[in-house]
Amino acid sequence: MTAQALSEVATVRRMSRTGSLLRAVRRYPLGAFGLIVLTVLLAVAAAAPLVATHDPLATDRVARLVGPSAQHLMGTDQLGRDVFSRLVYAARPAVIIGFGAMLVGLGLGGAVGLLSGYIGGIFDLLVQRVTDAMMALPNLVVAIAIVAVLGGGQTRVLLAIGLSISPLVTRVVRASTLPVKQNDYVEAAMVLGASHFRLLIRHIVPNIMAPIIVIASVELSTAILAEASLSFLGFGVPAPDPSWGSMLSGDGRRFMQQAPWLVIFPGVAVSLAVLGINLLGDAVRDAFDPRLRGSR
Amino acid sequence: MTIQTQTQSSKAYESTVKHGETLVDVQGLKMYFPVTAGLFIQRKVADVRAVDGLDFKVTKGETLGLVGESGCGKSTTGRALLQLYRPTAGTVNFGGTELTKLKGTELRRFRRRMQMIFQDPFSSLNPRMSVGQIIGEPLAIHGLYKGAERRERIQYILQAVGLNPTFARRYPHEFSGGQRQRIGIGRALAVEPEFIVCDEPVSALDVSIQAQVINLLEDLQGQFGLTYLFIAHDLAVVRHISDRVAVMYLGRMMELADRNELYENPLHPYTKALLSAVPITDPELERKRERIILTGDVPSPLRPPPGCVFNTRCPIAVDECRERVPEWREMAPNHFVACHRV
Repeated sequence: MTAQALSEVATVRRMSRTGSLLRAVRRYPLGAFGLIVLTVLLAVAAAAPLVATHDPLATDRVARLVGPSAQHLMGTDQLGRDVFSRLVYAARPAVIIGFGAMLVGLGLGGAVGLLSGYIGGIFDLLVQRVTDAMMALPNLVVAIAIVAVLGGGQTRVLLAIGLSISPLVTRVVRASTLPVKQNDYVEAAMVLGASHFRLLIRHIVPNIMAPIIVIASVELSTAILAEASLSFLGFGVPAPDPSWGSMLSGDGRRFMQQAPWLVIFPGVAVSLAVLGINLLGDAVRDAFDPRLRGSR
Repeated sequence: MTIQTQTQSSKAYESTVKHGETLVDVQGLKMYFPVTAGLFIQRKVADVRAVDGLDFKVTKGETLGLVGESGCGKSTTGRALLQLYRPTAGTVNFGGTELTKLKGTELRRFRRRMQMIFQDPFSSLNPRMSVGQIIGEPLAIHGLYKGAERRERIQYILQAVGLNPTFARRYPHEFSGGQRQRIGIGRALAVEPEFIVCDEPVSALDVSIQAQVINLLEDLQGQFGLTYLFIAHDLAVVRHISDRVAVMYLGRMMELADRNELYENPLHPYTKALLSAVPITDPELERKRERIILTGDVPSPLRPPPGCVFNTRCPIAVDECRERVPEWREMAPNHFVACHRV
């Protein structure tokens, strides 16, 4: 090895240690924005009592359907409850159910899809027919059916939504696995004596990360919306407790014309969360790909 | 630097086969792929006879060339030897161990002794792994060399295949086809195999790079005492690198002989036709020589013709060829041929 080559290695090492966060932000500005949105969302959910200005359940007969003001940052609803405080508290079920359901759907659907694509044959055939059956019904119907069997409550709603979104994940993961497992490098690893577990984890999963990350961000938004719908139907977060979904679809829709702030703010919250998560997902996908890492 | 001092032998297993003895003994190797039909209940309707009864031996330290047209079963033979496909019938004896009987972990452990180099340098390297990870993977799988020793070993391998040791941190997409093929060769070498199946290792490369890779393979063979099964369709390349050459057609072996014997004194009509298709650079000679042009196409391996599989295109076929499968006969010492008319 020449001295020049050695110094080259040293330079690469130094660069990767210092200022790696700054470089990441510069390379993926949208991803950084997504990360900020996500961090704010998680912080607000965690510190809701500190952030909220009012009790989210306290009603006020006098100040009903009042527009945004210094007193009520985002106005009040028809019962005089502070919209801002309700929005802040509603971040909790959104985060827990949204992320929880996304992780359940991704874990379950991903594992099933991966094995279905990898093993193939009869197993694949059976799994895919079950997936077909689940996909034939709308997500919400499946979720309602599951909630009806299991009963309500946050954990069960989370599981129900997770289960209902898993068939789509199964499909996407299976479809991505099929071409990847055909690659010579999978065969090469087999020749090297790699176990099935190693083939899946080291060779197949890293190469299907791009669609997985995309589907994860899509499923997260689906889960947040599903939570909203279930709450609207009375299966999700029980009535007086706030949830973005019930704020949007329940009271919000009824008084939308007189008090647009009732829907605008929860709507913006949902959109911003979903947008931020999608942007972060894109950036993470690119950052994971060595082919894109150096060329931006 | 110290990396040159590391030797191939430090972690070698005990090989029972000495130079010049039979390393791989293949008997009656058949590889059929079922063709199935039916929506839910898969019925077998036919077999693709990719490899249909091969007998040959590979001697330790030699290069056995395997030539034939596309789809004649060359690659399938290589993969069936390595048990990537489990053969339909036949035995593959590797230095005293019957590979077709090995299962799961036993087979995985045995894979240290036999490796493969792939045709396509682009799809054979995982784009998500750095070169160091790719070459280090076989070491990780077999638990060879730890920590700093492994890094040293990776650098040693990179140097052995003619790459800069600093490349370990880079990713496959940063390299050219020839360099990537060197990485693939390094990966195969990392576990110190005895036997390497080279599946058309140069046919995806530029001609100028082909020579470099061929020379590298020859150097490594000398350095580490490797045995190659060299699959190719380029007759010039095979002639250059092989000690012995086998000719395949439609899943069967037509002829097998020492390199010079096969190229100078081919006995089988298919071998003759194949050799006469090689262009000669001298235009005078090229104009004068007689070319054997085969008519028709290769029959489908789903329904190979009865008798000798070559009878449909053979210029000297007689009735016997259409009825009886020719035996695999040793016409001269070490010169085997399957033809009634020889």
